[in-house]
Amino acid sequence: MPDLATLQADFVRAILGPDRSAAGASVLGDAAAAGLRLGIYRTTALSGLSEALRLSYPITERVVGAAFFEQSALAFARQAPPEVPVLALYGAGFPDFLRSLPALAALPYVADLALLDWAVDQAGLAPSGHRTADRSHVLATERGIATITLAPSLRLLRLETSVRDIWLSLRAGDEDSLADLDWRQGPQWLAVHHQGDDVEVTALTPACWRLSDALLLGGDLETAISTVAADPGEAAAVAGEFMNTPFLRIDFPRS
Amino acid sequence: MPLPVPSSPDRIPAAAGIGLRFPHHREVAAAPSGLAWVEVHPENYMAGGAMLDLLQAIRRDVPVSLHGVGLSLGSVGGVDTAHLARLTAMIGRIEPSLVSDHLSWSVSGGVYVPDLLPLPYTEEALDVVARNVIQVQDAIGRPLLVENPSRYLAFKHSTLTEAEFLSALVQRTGCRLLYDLNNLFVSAFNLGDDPAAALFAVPTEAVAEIHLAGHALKRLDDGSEVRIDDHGDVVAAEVWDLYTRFIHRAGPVPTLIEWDTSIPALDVLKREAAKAQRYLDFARIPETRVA
Repeated sequence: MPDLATLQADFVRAILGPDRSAAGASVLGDAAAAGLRLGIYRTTALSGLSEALRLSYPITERVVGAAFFEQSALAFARQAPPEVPVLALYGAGFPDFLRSLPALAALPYVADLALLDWAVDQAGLAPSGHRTADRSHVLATERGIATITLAPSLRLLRLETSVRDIWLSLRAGDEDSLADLDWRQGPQWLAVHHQGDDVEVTALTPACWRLSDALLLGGDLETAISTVAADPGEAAAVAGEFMNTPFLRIDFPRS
Repeated sequence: MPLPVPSSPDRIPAAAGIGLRFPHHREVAAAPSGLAWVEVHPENYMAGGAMLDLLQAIRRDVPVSLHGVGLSLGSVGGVDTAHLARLTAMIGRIEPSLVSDHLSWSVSGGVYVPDLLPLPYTEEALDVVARNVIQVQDAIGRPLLVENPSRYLAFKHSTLTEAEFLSALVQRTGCRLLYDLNNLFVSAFNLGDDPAAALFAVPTEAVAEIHLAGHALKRLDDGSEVRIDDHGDVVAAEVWDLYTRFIHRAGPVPTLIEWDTSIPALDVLKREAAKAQRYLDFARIPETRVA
Protein backbone atom coordinates (compact mmCIF):
# COMPACT_ATOMS: atom_id res chain seq x y z
CA MET A 1 0.00 0.00 0.00
CA PRO A 2 1.25 3.53 -0.71
CA ASP A 3 2.45 5.82 2.02
CA LEU A 4 0.26 8.83 2.82
CA ALA A 5 2.23 11.26 0.65
CA THR A 6 1.87 9.01 -2.39
CA LEU A 7 -1.80 8.38 -1.69
CA GLN A 8 -2.53 12.11 -1.47
CA ALA A 9 -0.67 12.86 -4.70
CA ASP A 10 -2.57 10.02 -6.44
CA PHE A 11 -5.85 11.37 -5.09
CA VAL A 12 -5.24 14.88 -6.41
CA ARG A 13 -4.40 13.43 -9.84
CA ALA A 14 -7.62 11.41 -9.77
CA ILE A 15 -9.64 14.54 -9.03
CA LEU A 16 -8.03 16.93 -11.47
CA GLY A 17 -7.17 14.46 -14.22
CA PRO A 18 -8.63 11.42 -15.92
CA ASP A 19 -6.50 8.75 -14.21
CA ARG A 20 -8.21 7.26 -11.18
CA SER A 21 -6.39 3.91 -11.26
CA ALA A 22 -3.57 4.70 -8.81
CA ALA A 23 -5.87 6.22 -6.20
CA GLY A 24 -8.51 3.59 -6.83
CA ALA A 25 -6.07 0.77 -6.08
CA SER A 26 -6.06 1.80 -2.40
CA VAL A 27 -9.83 1.96 -2.11
CA LEU A 28 -11.93 -0.89 -0.74
CA GLY A 29 -14.11 -2.57 -3.35
CA ASP A 30 -13.59 -3.41 -7.00
CA ALA A 31 -12.03 -0.95 -9.42
CA ALA A 32 -15.33 0.14 -10.94
CA ALA A 33 -16.91 0.87 -7.58
CA ALA A 34 -13.77 2.66 -6.40
CA GLY A 35 -13.87 4.83 -9.50
CA LEU A 36 -17.47 5.80 -8.85
CA ARG A 37 -16.75 6.65 -5.23
CA LEU A 38 -13.71 8.73 -6.23
CA GLY A 39 -16.00 10.44 -8.70
CA ILE A 40 -18.09 11.82 -5.84
CA TYR A 41 -15.08 13.71 -4.50
CA ARG A 42 -14.13 14.78 -8.01
CA THR A 43 -17.60 16.19 -8.66
CA THR A 44 -17.67 18.10 -5.37
CA ALA A 45 -14.22 19.59 -5.85
CA LEU A 46 -14.65 20.63 -9.48
CA SER A 47 -18.14 21.98 -8.98
CA GLY A 48 -16.81 24.03 -6.07
CA LEU A 49 -14.17 25.59 -8.29
CA SER A 50 -16.63 26.17 -11.11
CA GLU A 51 -19.02 27.86 -8.70
CA ALA A 52 -16.24 30.08 -7.35
CA LEU A 53 -15.47 31.25 -10.89
CA ARG A 54 -19.15 31.74 -11.69
CA LEU A 55 -19.49 34.05 -8.67
CA SER A 56 -16.48 36.11 -9.75
CA TYR A 57 -17.38 36.29 -13.45
CA PRO A 58 -21.16 36.82 -13.65
CA ILE A 59 -21.21 39.02 -16.76
CA THR A 60 -18.79 36.76 -18.58
CA GLU A 61 -21.11 33.83 -17.90
CA ARG A 62 -24.06 35.88 -19.15
CA VAL A 63 -22.23 36.53 -22.43
CA VAL A 64 -20.83 33.08 -23.22
CA GLY A 65 -23.76 31.13 -21.77
CA ALA A 66 -23.90 28.74 -18.84
CA ALA A 67 -22.79 25.65 -20.77
CA PHE A 68 -19.71 27.21 -22.38
CA PHE A 69 -18.80 28.90 -19.10
CA GLU A 70 -19.04 25.62 -17.21
CA GLN A 71 -16.80 23.81 -19.70
CA SER A 72 -14.28 26.65 -19.66
CA ALA A 73 -14.31 26.87 -15.87
CA LEU A 74 -13.72 23.14 -15.46
CA ALA A 75 -10.89 23.18 -18.00
CA PHE A 76 -9.31 26.14 -16.22
CA ALA A 77 -9.74 24.50 -12.81
CA ARG A 78 -7.93 21.37 -13.97
CA GLN A 79 -5.14 23.42 -15.53
CA ALA A 80 -4.76 25.98 -12.75
CA PRO A 81 -6.23 24.72 -9.46
CA PRO A 82 -6.05 27.02 -6.44
CA GLU A 83 -3.10 27.07 -4.09
CA VAL A 84 -4.85 28.55 -1.05
CA PRO A 85 -8.23 27.73 0.51
CA VAL A 86 -9.68 31.20 0.05
CA LEU A 87 -11.83 30.78 -3.02
CA ALA A 88 -12.75 34.47 -3.22
CA LEU A 89 -9.18 35.02 -4.39
CA TYR A 90 -9.23 32.19 -6.94
CA GLY A 91 -9.42 32.77 -10.66
CA ALA A 92 -7.19 35.74 -11.53
CA GLY A 93 -5.87 33.84 -14.55
CA PHE A 94 -9.28 32.99 -15.99
CA PRO A 95 -9.44 35.96 -18.42
CA ASP A 96 -6.11 34.98 -19.96
CA PHE A 97 -7.31 31.40 -20.16
CA LEU A 98 -10.42 32.53 -22.04
CA ARG A 99 -8.26 34.60 -24.36
CA SER A 100 -6.27 31.47 -25.21
CA LEU A 101 -9.33 29.46 -26.24
CA PRO A 102 -9.60 28.98 -30.04
CA ALA A 103 -13.39 29.26 -29.79
CA LEU A 104 -13.01 32.85 -28.57
CA ALA A 105 -10.16 33.89 -30.86
CA ALA A 106 -12.44 36.15 -32.89
CA LEU A 107 -14.17 37.53 -29.82
CA PRO A 108 -11.48 39.37 -27.85
CA TYR A 109 -14.07 41.35 -25.93
CA VAL A 110 -15.03 38.24 -23.92
CA ALA A 111 -11.66 38.15 -22.15
CA ASP A 112 -11.88 41.91 -21.62
CA LEU A 113 -15.32 41.54 -20.04
CA ALA A 114 -13.79 38.89 -17.79
CA LEU A 115 -11.00 41.28 -16.80
CA LEU A 116 -13.64 43.84 -15.87
CA ASP A 117 -15.63 41.22 -13.93
CA TRP A 118 -12.50 40.30 -11.97
CA ALA A 119 -11.60 43.92 -11.22
CA VAL A 120 -15.11 44.58 -9.92
CA ASP A 121 -15.09 41.38 -7.88
CA GLN A 122 -11.73 42.08 -6.27
CA ALA A 123 -12.55 45.75 -5.67
CA GLY A 124 -15.50 44.52 -3.64
CA LEU A 125 -13.13 42.82 -1.21
CA ALA A 126 -11.36 46.07 -0.32
CA PRO A 127 -12.50 48.27 2.53
CA SER A 128 -15.02 50.87 1.39
CA GLY A 129 -14.40 54.59 1.70
CA HIS A 130 -10.97 56.18 1.66
CA ARG A 131 -9.30 54.80 4.70
CA THR A 132 -5.92 53.77 3.36
CA ALA A 133 -3.33 56.30 4.40
CA ASP A 134 -0.62 54.98 2.10
CA ARG A 135 -2.58 56.18 -0.89
CA SER A 136 -2.66 59.79 0.25
CA HIS A 137 -0.86 62.50 -1.70
CA VAL A 138 -0.54 66.23 -1.33
CA LEU A 139 -1.00 68.88 -4.00
CA ALA A 140 -0.61 72.65 -3.90
CA THR A 141 -3.86 74.28 -5.06
CA GLU A 142 -5.36 77.74 -5.09
CA ARG A 143 -7.05 76.89 -1.78
CA GLY A 144 -3.86 75.65 -0.20
CA ILE A 145 -2.28 72.22 0.24
CA ALA A 146 -4.83 69.53 -0.55
CA THR A 147 -4.54 65.96 0.68
CA ILE A 148 -5.76 63.52 -1.94
CA THR A 149 -6.63 59.96 -1.01
CA LEU A 150 -7.41 57.21 -3.49
CA ALA A 151 -10.18 54.73 -2.74
CA PRO A 152 -8.57 51.53 -1.42
CA SER A 153 -10.77 49.53 -3.76
CA LEU A 154 -9.43 51.31 -6.86
CA ARG A 155 -8.45 49.00 -9.72
CA LEU A 156 -7.18 50.25 -13.10
CA LEU A 157 -7.72 48.41 -16.34
CA ARG A 158 -6.48 49.05 -19.86
CA LEU A 159 -8.61 47.03 -22.24
CA GLU A 160 -8.14 46.52 -25.98
CA THR A 161 -11.87 46.56 -26.66
CA SER A 162 -14.75 48.87 -25.73
CA VAL A 163 -16.64 46.75 -23.23
CA ARG A 164 -17.46 49.22 -20.47
CA ASP A 165 -20.95 50.12 -21.68
CA ILE A 166 -21.71 46.52 -22.64
CA TRP A 167 -20.71 45.38 -19.15
CA LEU A 168 -22.79 48.14 -17.53
CA SER A 169 -25.84 47.32 -19.67
CA LEU A 170 -25.66 43.63 -18.86
CA ARG A 171 -25.15 44.29 -15.19
CA ALA A 172 -28.17 46.59 -15.12
CA GLY A 173 -30.28 44.08 -17.07
CA ASP A 174 -30.71 46.72 -19.77
CA GLU A 175 -30.18 44.42 -22.72
CA ASP A 176 -32.20 46.55 -25.14
CA SER A 177 -29.33 49.01 -25.26
CA LEU A 178 -26.92 46.33 -26.46
CA ALA A 179 -28.04 46.99 -30.03
CA ASP A 180 -26.40 50.41 -29.87
CA LEU A 181 -23.09 49.19 -28.44
CA ASP A 182 -20.02 48.01 -30.32
CA TRP A 183 -16.89 46.59 -28.78
CA ARG A 184 -14.84 47.64 -31.82
CA GLN A 185 -14.51 51.27 -30.75
CA GLY A 186 -10.90 50.94 -29.68
CA PRO A 187 -9.13 50.53 -26.35
CA GLN A 188 -10.46 51.78 -23.05
CA TRP A 189 -8.73 53.04 -19.92
CA LEU A 190 -10.96 52.26 -16.94
CA ALA A 191 -11.03 52.80 -13.20
CA VAL A 192 -13.09 50.50 -10.97
CA HIS A 193 -13.92 51.28 -7.38
CA HIS A 194 -16.57 50.46 -4.81
CA GLN A 195 -18.49 53.01 -2.84
CA GLY A 196 -20.68 51.31 -0.27
CA ASP A 197 -22.64 48.61 -2.06
CA ASP A 198 -22.21 50.21 -5.48
CA VAL A 199 -19.44 49.77 -8.00
CA GLU A 200 -18.40 52.52 -10.35
CA VAL A 201 -16.60 51.91 -13.63
CA THR A 202 -15.15 55.19 -14.85
CA ALA A 203 -13.71 55.80 -18.32
CA LEU A 204 -10.53 57.86 -18.17
CA THR A 205 -8.32 59.51 -20.75
CA PRO A 206 -5.03 57.67 -21.23
CA ALA A 207 -3.14 60.47 -19.49
CA CYS A 208 -5.43 60.47 -16.46
CA TRP A 209 -5.23 56.68 -16.33
CA ARG A 210 -1.41 56.81 -16.35
CA LEU A 211 -1.47 59.46 -13.65
CA SER A 212 -3.73 57.31 -11.47
CA ASP A 213 -1.57 54.29 -12.14
CA ALA A 214 1.58 56.16 -11.12
CA LEU A 215 -0.07 57.15 -7.85
CA LEU A 216 -1.25 53.60 -7.19
CA LEU A 217 2.36 52.53 -7.59
CA GLY A 218 3.37 55.04 -4.96
CA GLY A 219 4.50 57.93 -7.13
CA ASP A 220 4.49 61.57 -6.15
CA LEU A 221 1.49 63.50 -7.50
CA GLU A 222 3.17 66.57 -8.96
CA THR A 223 5.94 64.48 -10.52
CA ALA A 224 3.37 62.10 -11.98
CA ILE A 225 1.42 64.96 -13.55
CA SER A 226 4.52 66.36 -15.17
CA THR A 227 5.43 62.91 -16.45
CA VAL A 228 2.11 62.17 -18.15
CA ALA A 229 1.58 65.66 -19.63
CA ALA A 230 3.60 67.07 -22.51
CA ASP A 231 3.06 70.73 -21.66
CA PRO A 232 1.52 72.97 -18.97
CA GLY A 233 -1.80 73.09 -20.79
CA GLU A 234 -2.10 69.33 -20.89
CA ALA A 235 -0.93 69.12 -17.28
CA ALA A 236 -3.75 71.41 -16.24
CA ALA A 237 -6.25 69.36 -18.22
CA VAL A 238 -5.05 66.07 -16.72
CA ALA A 239 -5.03 67.50 -13.23
CA GLY A 240 -8.54 68.84 -13.75
CA GLU A 241 -9.84 65.48 -14.98
CA PHE A 242 -8.10 63.64 -12.17
CA MET A 243 -9.49 65.94 -9.48
CA ASN A 244 -13.01 65.24 -10.74
CA THR A 245 -12.76 61.45 -10.71
CA PRO A 246 -15.10 59.72 -8.23
CA PHE A 247 -12.40 57.57 -6.62
CA LEU A 248 -10.72 60.46 -4.80
CA ARG A 249 -11.28 62.14 -1.53
CA ILE A 250 -9.84 65.63 -1.42
CA ASP A 251 -9.24 67.26 1.93
CA PHE A 252 -8.33 70.92 2.21
CA PRO A 253 -6.85 72.40 5.35
CA ARG A 254 -9.34 74.08 7.64
CA SER A 255 -9.10 77.85 7.38
CA MET B 1 -2.30 17.44 28.04
CA PRO B 2 -5.68 19.17 27.68
CA LEU B 3 -5.46 22.86 26.84
CA PRO B 4 -7.57 25.32 28.82
CA VAL B 5 -10.84 26.37 27.24
CA PRO B 6 -11.05 30.17 27.10
CA SER B 7 -13.53 31.39 29.68
CA SER B 8 -15.60 34.21 28.33
CA PRO B 9 -19.03 35.70 28.80
CA ASP B 10 -19.43 34.99 25.10
CA ARG B 11 -18.83 31.29 25.52
CA ILE B 12 -21.22 29.32 23.38
CA PRO B 13 -24.01 27.79 25.45
CA ALA B 14 -25.24 24.23 25.21
CA ALA B 15 -27.95 25.50 22.93
CA ALA B 16 -28.88 25.26 19.26
CA GLY B 17 -27.35 27.68 16.77
CA ILE B 18 -27.23 27.96 13.00
CA GLY B 19 -24.59 28.02 10.31
CA LEU B 20 -24.56 31.62 9.08
CA ARG B 21 -24.23 32.00 5.31
CA PHE B 22 -23.99 35.12 3.14
CA PRO B 23 -27.71 35.31 2.12
CA HIS B 24 -28.68 35.79 5.77
CA HIS B 25 -26.04 38.24 6.98
CA ARG B 26 -28.04 41.42 6.58
CA GLU B 27 -31.17 39.91 8.13
CA VAL B 28 -29.23 38.60 11.13
CA ALA B 29 -27.31 41.86 11.53
CA ALA B 30 -30.58 43.78 11.53
CA ALA B 31 -32.28 41.47 14.03
CA PRO B 32 -29.81 39.25 15.89
CA SER B 33 -32.17 38.34 18.71
CA GLY B 34 -33.43 34.79 18.85
CA LEU B 35 -30.14 33.24 17.79
CA ALA B 36 -28.21 31.47 20.54
CA TRP B 37 -25.05 31.43 18.43
CA VAL B 38 -23.85 31.21 14.86
CA GLU B 39 -21.02 29.48 13.05
CA VAL B 40 -19.18 30.59 9.92
CA HIS B 41 -16.43 29.29 7.66
CA PRO B 42 -13.50 31.67 8.28
CA GLU B 43 -12.15 31.11 4.76
CA ASN B 44 -15.20 32.93 3.38
CA TYR B 45 -14.08 36.14 5.09
CA MET B 46 -10.31 35.99 4.71
CA ALA B 47 -10.35 38.06 1.52
CA GLY B 48 -12.17 40.90 3.27
CA GLY B 49 -15.23 42.64 1.89
CA ALA B 50 -18.59 43.78 3.18
CA MET B 51 -19.50 40.39 4.64
CA LEU B 52 -16.59 40.59 7.05
CA ASP B 53 -17.85 43.96 8.24
CA LEU B 54 -21.31 42.46 8.74
CA LEU B 55 -19.90 39.47 10.60
CA GLN B 56 -18.08 41.77 12.99
CA ALA B 57 -21.33 43.65 13.58
CA ILE B 58 -23.19 40.39 14.24
CA ARG B 59 -20.43 39.27 16.58
CA ARG B 60 -21.24 42.18 18.89
CA ASP B 61 -24.61 40.58 19.65
CA VAL B 62 -24.21 36.86 19.00
CA PRO B 63 -21.46 34.38 19.98
CA VAL B 64 -19.61 33.10 16.91
CA SER B 65 -17.82 29.84 16.19
CA LEU B 66 -15.21 29.61 13.41
CA HIS B 67 -15.49 26.34 11.51
CA GLY B 68 -12.58 25.99 9.11
CA VAL B 69 -12.40 24.01 5.91
CA GLY B 70 -8.86 24.90 4.94
CA LEU B 71 -6.38 23.75 7.58
CA SER B 72 -5.98 20.39 5.84
CA LEU B 73 -5.11 18.65 9.09
CA GLY B 74 -4.33 15.40 7.29
CA SER B 75 -1.79 16.79 4.84
CA VAL B 76 1.58 15.04 4.93
CA GLY B 77 3.16 18.33 3.92
CA GLY B 78 1.99 19.96 7.14
CA VAL B 79 -0.25 22.90 7.84
CA ASP B 80 0.19 25.88 5.52
CA THR B 81 1.69 28.47 7.86
CA ALA B 82 0.35 31.34 5.76
CA HIS B 83 -3.16 29.97 6.11
CA LEU B 84 -2.66 29.38 9.80
CA ALA B 85 -1.61 33.02 10.12
CA ARG B 86 -4.79 34.09 8.30
CA LEU B 87 -6.85 31.98 10.70
CA THR B 88 -5.04 33.37 13.73
CA ALA B 89 -5.69 36.91 12.50
CA MET B 90 -9.37 36.06 12.01
CA ILE B 91 -9.55 34.68 15.54
CA GLY B 92 -8.09 37.93 16.83
CA ARG B 93 -10.65 39.92 14.89
CA ILE B 94 -13.79 37.87 15.61
CA GLU B 95 -12.90 36.46 19.04
CA PRO B 96 -14.81 33.22 18.44
CA SER B 97 -15.88 30.96 21.24
CA LEU B 98 -15.01 27.80 19.34
CA VAL B 99 -12.58 27.00 16.53
CA SER B 100 -12.87 23.80 14.53
CA ASP B 101 -11.82 22.01 11.36
CA HIS B 102 -12.06 18.52 9.89
CA LEU B 103 -10.40 15.14 10.08
CA SER B 104 -9.52 15.30 6.41
CA TRP B 105 -7.06 16.82 4.00
CA SER B 106 -7.33 19.14 1.00
CA VAL B 107 -3.78 20.19 0.12
CA SER B 108 -1.09 18.14 -1.61
CA GLY B 109 1.88 19.34 -3.60
CA GLY B 110 0.81 22.96 -3.29
CA VAL B 111 -2.61 22.29 -4.82
CA TYR B 112 -5.76 23.06 -2.82
CA VAL B 113 -8.72 20.83 -3.59
CA PRO B 114 -11.96 22.34 -2.28
CA ASP B 115 -13.31 19.22 -0.62
CA LEU B 116 -12.77 17.33 2.62
CA LEU B 117 -10.79 14.39 1.31
CA PRO B 118 -10.64 11.13 3.27
CA LEU B 119 -7.71 9.75 5.21
CA PRO B 120 -6.72 6.13 5.65
CA TYR B 121 -7.01 5.47 9.36
CA THR B 122 -3.44 4.28 9.97
CA GLU B 123 -0.73 5.00 12.52
CA GLU B 124 1.10 7.03 9.88
CA ALA B 125 -1.94 9.23 9.29
CA LEU B 126 -2.48 9.56 13.05
CA ASP B 127 1.10 10.83 13.45
CA VAL B 128 0.52 13.38 10.68
CA VAL B 129 -2.81 14.65 12.02
CA ALA B 130 -1.57 14.79 15.62
CA ARG B 131 1.49 16.80 14.55
CA ASN B 132 -0.68 19.22 12.60
CA VAL B 133 -3.31 19.61 15.32
CA ILE B 134 -0.61 20.40 17.88
CA GLN B 135 0.88 22.98 15.52
CA VAL B 136 -2.51 24.64 15.10
CA GLN B 137 -3.30 24.59 18.82
CA ASP B 138 0.09 26.10 19.61
CA ALA B 139 -0.64 28.92 17.16
CA ILE B 140 -4.20 29.68 18.28
CA GLY B 141 -3.62 29.04 21.99
CA ARG B 142 -6.74 26.98 22.54
CA PRO B 143 -8.04 23.48 21.83
CA LEU B 144 -9.13 22.81 18.28
CA LEU B 145 -12.36 20.93 17.70
CA VAL B 146 -11.87 18.19 15.09
CA GLU B 147 -14.88 17.01 13.11
CA ASN B 148 -15.54 13.51 11.80
CA PRO B 149 -16.02 13.87 8.02
CA SER B 150 -18.63 12.36 5.74
CA ARG B 151 -16.99 9.57 3.75
CA TYR B 152 -17.80 7.87 0.48
CA LEU B 153 -15.01 5.32 0.47
CA ALA B 154 -12.68 3.44 2.79
CA PHE B 155 -9.07 2.45 2.30
CA LYS B 156 -7.81 -1.12 2.20
CA HIS B 157 -4.93 -0.42 4.52
CA SER B 158 -6.80 1.32 7.35
CA THR B 159 -6.01 -0.36 10.65
CA LEU B 160 -8.14 1.78 12.96
CA THR B 161 -11.81 2.65 13.04
CA GLU B 162 -12.68 6.31 12.82
CA ALA B 163 -13.64 6.33 16.50
CA GLU B 164 -10.33 4.70 17.47
CA PHE B 165 -8.49 7.28 15.37
CA LEU B 166 -10.35 10.19 16.99
CA SER B 167 -9.90 8.77 20.49
CA ALA B 168 -6.15 8.47 19.97
CA LEU B 169 -6.05 11.98 18.53
CA VAL B 170 -7.81 13.41 21.59
CA GLN B 171 -5.42 11.56 23.87
CA ARG B 172 -2.30 12.70 22.02
CA THR B 173 -3.23 16.33 21.39
CA GLY B 174 -5.84 17.41 23.91
CA CYS B 175 -8.10 18.45 21.07
CA ARG B 176 -11.88 18.31 21.39
CA LEU B 177 -14.36 16.75 19.03
CA LEU B 178 -16.99 18.28 16.83
CA TYR B 179 -19.31 15.33 16.41
CA ASP B 180 -21.24 15.58 13.15
CA LEU B 181 -24.06 13.09 13.50
CA ASN B 182 -25.19 13.57 9.92
CA ASN B 183 -21.67 12.67 8.82
CA LEU B 184 -21.71 9.66 11.11
CA PHE B 185 -24.95 8.47 9.54
CA VAL B 186 -23.89 9.24 5.95
CA SER B 187 -20.52 7.53 6.33
CA ALA B 188 -22.03 4.47 8.00
CA PHE B 189 -24.58 4.08 5.21
CA ASN B 190 -21.99 4.56 2.48
CA LEU B 191 -19.50 2.14 4.03
CA GLY B 192 -21.98 -0.47 5.24
CA ASP B 193 -21.54 0.21 8.95
CA ASP B 194 -24.05 0.58 11.78
CA PRO B 195 -24.18 4.20 13.00
CA ALA B 196 -25.91 3.27 16.24
CA ALA B 197 -23.10 0.88 17.10
CA ALA B 198 -20.51 3.61 16.48
CA LEU B 199 -22.43 6.42 18.21
CA PHE B 200 -20.76 6.12 21.61
CA ALA B 201 -17.42 4.76 20.39
CA VAL B 202 -15.86 8.22 20.46
CA PRO B 203 -14.83 9.71 23.83
CA THR B 204 -18.10 11.46 24.65
CA GLU B 205 -16.50 13.72 27.27
CA ALA B 206 -14.40 15.29 24.50
CA VAL B 207 -17.42 16.22 22.36
CA ALA B 208 -17.69 20.01 22.56
CA GLU B 209 -20.09 20.58 19.69
CA ILE B 210 -22.55 18.63 17.55
CA HIS B 211 -23.42 19.26 13.92
CA LEU B 212 -26.75 18.35 12.35
CA ALA B 213 -27.58 18.75 8.66
CA GLY B 214 -29.55 17.30 5.81
CA HIS B 215 -28.25 15.05 3.05
CA ALA B 216 -29.34 13.59 -0.27
CA LEU B 217 -29.76 10.05 -1.53
CA LYS B 218 -28.16 9.39 -4.91
CA ARG B 219 -27.98 6.36 -7.17
CA LEU B 220 -24.61 5.73 -8.82
CA ASP B 221 -24.12 4.29 -12.31
CA ASP B 222 -23.65 0.77 -10.93
CA GLY B 223 -27.06 0.94 -9.24
CA SER B 224 -25.67 1.36 -5.74
CA GLU B 225 -27.03 4.11 -3.52
CA VAL B 226 -24.97 6.64 -1.62
CA ARG B 227 -25.92 9.38 0.77
CA ILE B 228 -24.37 12.70 -0.24
CA ASP B 229 -23.59 15.16 2.54
CA ASP B 230 -24.89 18.18 0.63
CA HIS B 231 -26.33 20.13 3.59
CA GLY B 232 -29.31 20.87 1.40
CA ASP B 233 -32.33 19.67 3.35
CA VAL B 234 -33.85 19.31 6.78
CA VAL B 235 -32.18 16.93 9.20
CA ALA B 236 -33.15 13.30 8.49
CA ALA B 237 -35.25 11.41 11.03
CA GLU B 238 -32.50 8.84 11.55
CA VAL B 239 -30.04 11.62 12.42
CA TRP B 240 -32.47 13.19 14.89
CA ASP B 241 -32.70 9.77 16.49
CA LEU B 242 -28.91 9.51 16.84
CA TYR B 243 -28.89 13.04 18.25
CA THR B 244 -31.48 12.46 20.96
CA ARG B 245 -29.82 9.22 22.01
CA PHE B 246 -26.45 10.93 22.24
CA ILE B 247 -27.48 13.99 24.26
CA HIS B 248 -29.65 11.97 26.63
CA ARG B 249 -26.61 9.96 27.61
CA ALA B 250 -23.78 12.50 27.17
CA GLY B 251 -25.74 15.59 28.19
CA PRO B 252 -26.56 18.82 26.31
CA VAL B 253 -23.86 20.01 23.91
CA PRO B 254 -23.76 23.16 21.71
CA THR B 255 -25.56 22.05 18.57
CA LEU B 256 -25.47 23.55 15.11
CA ILE B 257 -27.86 23.32 12.16
CA GLU B 258 -25.87 23.48 8.90
CA TRP B 259 -27.41 24.31 5.53
CA ASP B 260 -25.12 25.09 2.58
CA THR B 261 -26.92 24.29 -0.68
CA SER B 262 -30.36 25.48 -1.77
CA ILE B 263 -30.20 27.74 1.26
CA PRO B 264 -33.75 28.44 2.48
CA ALA B 265 -35.22 31.41 4.31
CA LEU B 266 -33.66 32.15 7.68
CA ASP B 267 -36.88 31.12 9.41
CA VAL B 268 -36.47 27.57 8.12
CA LEU B 269 -33.07 27.31 9.77
CA LYS B 270 -34.45 28.84 12.94
CA ARG B 271 -37.20 26.22 13.04
CA GLU B 272 -34.66 23.41 12.70
CA ALA B 273 -32.61 25.02 15.48
CA ALA B 274 -35.75 25.36 17.62
CA LYS B 275 -36.40 21.64 17.16
CA ALA B 276 -32.85 20.85 18.27
CA GLN B 277 -33.37 23.17 21.23
CA ARG B 278 -36.47 21.24 22.31
CA TYR B 279 -34.42 18.03 22.31
CA LEU B 280 -31.68 19.77 24.32
CA ASP B 281 -34.33 20.86 26.83
CA PHE B 282 -35.59 17.26 27.06
CA ALA B 283 -32.03 16.07 27.71
CA ARG B 284 -31.83 18.30 30.78
CA ILE B 285 -34.65 16.39 32.49
CA PRO B 286 -32.83 14.55 35.25
CA GLU B 287 -32.76 10.78 35.10
CA THR B 288 -34.54 10.10 38.37
CA ARG B 289 -36.29 6.98 39.47
CA VAL B 290 -39.96 7.45 38.65
CA ALA B 291 -41.32 4.91 41.07
